[in-house]
Amino acid sequence: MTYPVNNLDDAYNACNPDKPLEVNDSRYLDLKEVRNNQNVSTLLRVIKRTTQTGDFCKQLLTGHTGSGKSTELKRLQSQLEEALYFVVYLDVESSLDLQQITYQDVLLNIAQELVNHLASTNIELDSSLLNDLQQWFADRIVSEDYVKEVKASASVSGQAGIDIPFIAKLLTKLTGEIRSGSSRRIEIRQNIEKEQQSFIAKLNDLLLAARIKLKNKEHTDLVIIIDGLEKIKQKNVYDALFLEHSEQLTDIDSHTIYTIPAALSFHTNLGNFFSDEAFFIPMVKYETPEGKQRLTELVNKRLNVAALFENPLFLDDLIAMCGGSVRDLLRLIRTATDTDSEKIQAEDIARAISSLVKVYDRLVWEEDVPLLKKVMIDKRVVKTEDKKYERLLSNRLIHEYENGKPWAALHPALTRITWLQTALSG
Amino acid sequence: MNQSLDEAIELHPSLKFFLKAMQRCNGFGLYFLRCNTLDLRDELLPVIKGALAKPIVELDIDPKNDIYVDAQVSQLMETAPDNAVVFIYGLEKLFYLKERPLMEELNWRRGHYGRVEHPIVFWLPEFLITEILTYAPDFADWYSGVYEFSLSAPEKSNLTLKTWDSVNENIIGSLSLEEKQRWIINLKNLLEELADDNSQSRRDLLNRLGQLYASLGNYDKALSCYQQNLELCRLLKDKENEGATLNNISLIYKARGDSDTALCYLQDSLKICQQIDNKEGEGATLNNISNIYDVQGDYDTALRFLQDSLKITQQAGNKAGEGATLNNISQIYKARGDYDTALQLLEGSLKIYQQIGDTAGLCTTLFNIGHIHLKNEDPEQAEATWREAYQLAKTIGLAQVLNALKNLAKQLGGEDLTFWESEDRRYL
Repeated sequence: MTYPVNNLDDAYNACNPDKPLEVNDSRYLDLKEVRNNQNVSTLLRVIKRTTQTGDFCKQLLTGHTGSGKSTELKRLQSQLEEALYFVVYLDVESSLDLQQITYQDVLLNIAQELVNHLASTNIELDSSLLNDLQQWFADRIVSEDYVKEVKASASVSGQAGIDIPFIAKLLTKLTGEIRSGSSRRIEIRQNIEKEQQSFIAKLNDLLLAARIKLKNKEHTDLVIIIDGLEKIKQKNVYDALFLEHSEQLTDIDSHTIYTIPAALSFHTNLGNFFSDEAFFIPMVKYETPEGKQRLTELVNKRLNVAALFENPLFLDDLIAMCGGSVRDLLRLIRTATDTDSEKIQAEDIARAISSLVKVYDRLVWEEDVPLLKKVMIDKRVVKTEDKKYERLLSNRLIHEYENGKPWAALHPALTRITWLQTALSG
Repeated sequence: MNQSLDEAIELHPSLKFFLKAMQRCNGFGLYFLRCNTLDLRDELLPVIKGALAKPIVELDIDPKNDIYVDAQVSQLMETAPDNAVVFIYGLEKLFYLKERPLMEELNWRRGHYGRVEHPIVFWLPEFLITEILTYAPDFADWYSGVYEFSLSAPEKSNLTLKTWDSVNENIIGSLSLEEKQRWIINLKNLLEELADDNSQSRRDLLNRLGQLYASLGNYDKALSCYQQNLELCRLLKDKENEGATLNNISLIYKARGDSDTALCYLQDSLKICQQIDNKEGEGATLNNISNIYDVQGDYDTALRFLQDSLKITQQAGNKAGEGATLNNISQIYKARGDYDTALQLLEGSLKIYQQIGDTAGLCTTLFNIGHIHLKNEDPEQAEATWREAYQLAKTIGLAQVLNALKNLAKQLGGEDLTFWESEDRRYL
């Protein structure tokens, strides 16, 4: 499909509210000026700078769901690779399928992805190092017998032509045990916990060897991106991971970028181990002239607004209702295209808006009213003890923006919910 | 009932937009279709299948299948045509499984759904849409559309009556755990449909739902249903049902061991029954009140209330109530060790039940008589009486008595109810 499209059928498919854009997608538009004047190039600069000083950049990244995190991270990966960095990108969503994820799982996953990625790009690590690591696992984490079993089944199902070192297969098997919630999971986690210092030391040996090899092959350095952790919803799980075990997560000798739940970005203790503040991707400032213009441009990259909207100004109504969430905007457009006419009419716009409002109506509870009122007045997220704000953020009833400093507002869809408006004005 | 597409769109305006979206969507798309009942789905499906020019692959969730839903979908779609659409039904069955964290599963595994290059439509009851939006927000936020379908008004009442007749008070006792959970889902869905309705049906449904929750020990939810009902009854000045609901609420507090609160509710109920001269309700409430005192060991007060209750039921000519009250009074005398009076009362109750042909009442009374004989050290008589009770209970499938007899059989060295079939005298 070539963008922008000129008919409603294609327009529907040009506006996916779901998956992130791939790096070379022509629909991409950099919205940094109408967010907080930062995009992931900032992170690129930080990583480059720390590489030069010989330090490691340990960066956190956050933003609302649908704010564009994964799209931006993929762009970061591309920019890093252009600058000759070797990037290991993990999306825990696909590699660690759990509702209870621990730091042991994450570190193990990092080791697995690193070794496998190196192998698949034909970068060979010293075999004695790999054997040593394999022996360490056999001695301390699982057992000789287990390792023998894995070896046996690996050779049976051997993939012809791909010479992956055994340690890669072993690590894959171990993360597999964790993902599947097998009986071994507890044992593996407990043993890594017991052998924490040693495990991290081994991992760092691996990282050092990898980095040396990579530099010999003209790579600038190694960067590990861990995406998906922002989806952890249970407080006890993300507290355990990012607060209690931040030391373990940052003890590894490599540039690392972790995504974290938006709710955690308010926590003051995170800065202790992670460098700087969390990199925040705010929502687009949709109410400013620049914001409106950029979002209009974004839509025009996908479809020909003049050709497909009865009146191009209708798009303004949709922009006003999206609250700066590109996803909501695309969704509104999708709903509006469900029309019998050749062009999107006023009633289609009304229908799209009313659909969106209904969804938000399902999300707001009566008990949210006091907090919403406060956010409305104070224009910032009020951190209350009961952490009620966390749900309001994760359900995007409150959006966060930045204007030099962060501020917050209610999603505009809430203004169309009658009972809520009455309650808020009371 | 087969409808033409136009007729269907008349009744369900969302249908037009839903069909358009399905027709257009190339590749992955996430859709939520709000449909609260099976009847509605059965109505919509043929129309959709007839109108959509794409093949539809259906997945009806089996709660016993513990493979991830996305994996089931991926498997199904391996051999499906490129332009096929997926409809998923019954996700709510997984929602009620304690050991299955459905929201986390959806949220964590959204990438797997994303890799299915087909539009995926979840057919969901209203409450589950809200649940997913709230507790699986990363997954839900991928949605392209929420399409709402509702039963038409006459269909709503038809469905309510049908459901209503099949789940009555006595049946609740005999439902299995699974059946109760299924009924809870059904009634909740039905209540969703009647959300804007203040009819008697809604009050009856709330009552039933409350009783189902109570029978599962889920007192918070039961209470919530009853409270909703109470508000409704008060709004509509329905004193009779208000009294009955207050009684139901009192049973919850009693089950929780909070006799004082239970008593308060019963006293409110009593006042109302007296206000509207509802003798039957008054008698039943006095019985319940006496039960509170009985449980606390205050037999004298319990007896007093039972005697009041007896008077009222006799006045009202409520024979069944009279029989029940005589049974309750007999239990007090039994607790005091006065077995002769207890027996007399039970025999009086027996005569009444025989008069009105109330087999359930007969069973319960015979059961109680058996225990008196036992106390009187006459095991032969006891067993004979229980055998009689068993035969009668069998004919009407009276779960409460049959369960009690089963436990009794086990205590006496038998295995199950077949213990009562045999004429052999075993004595105790």
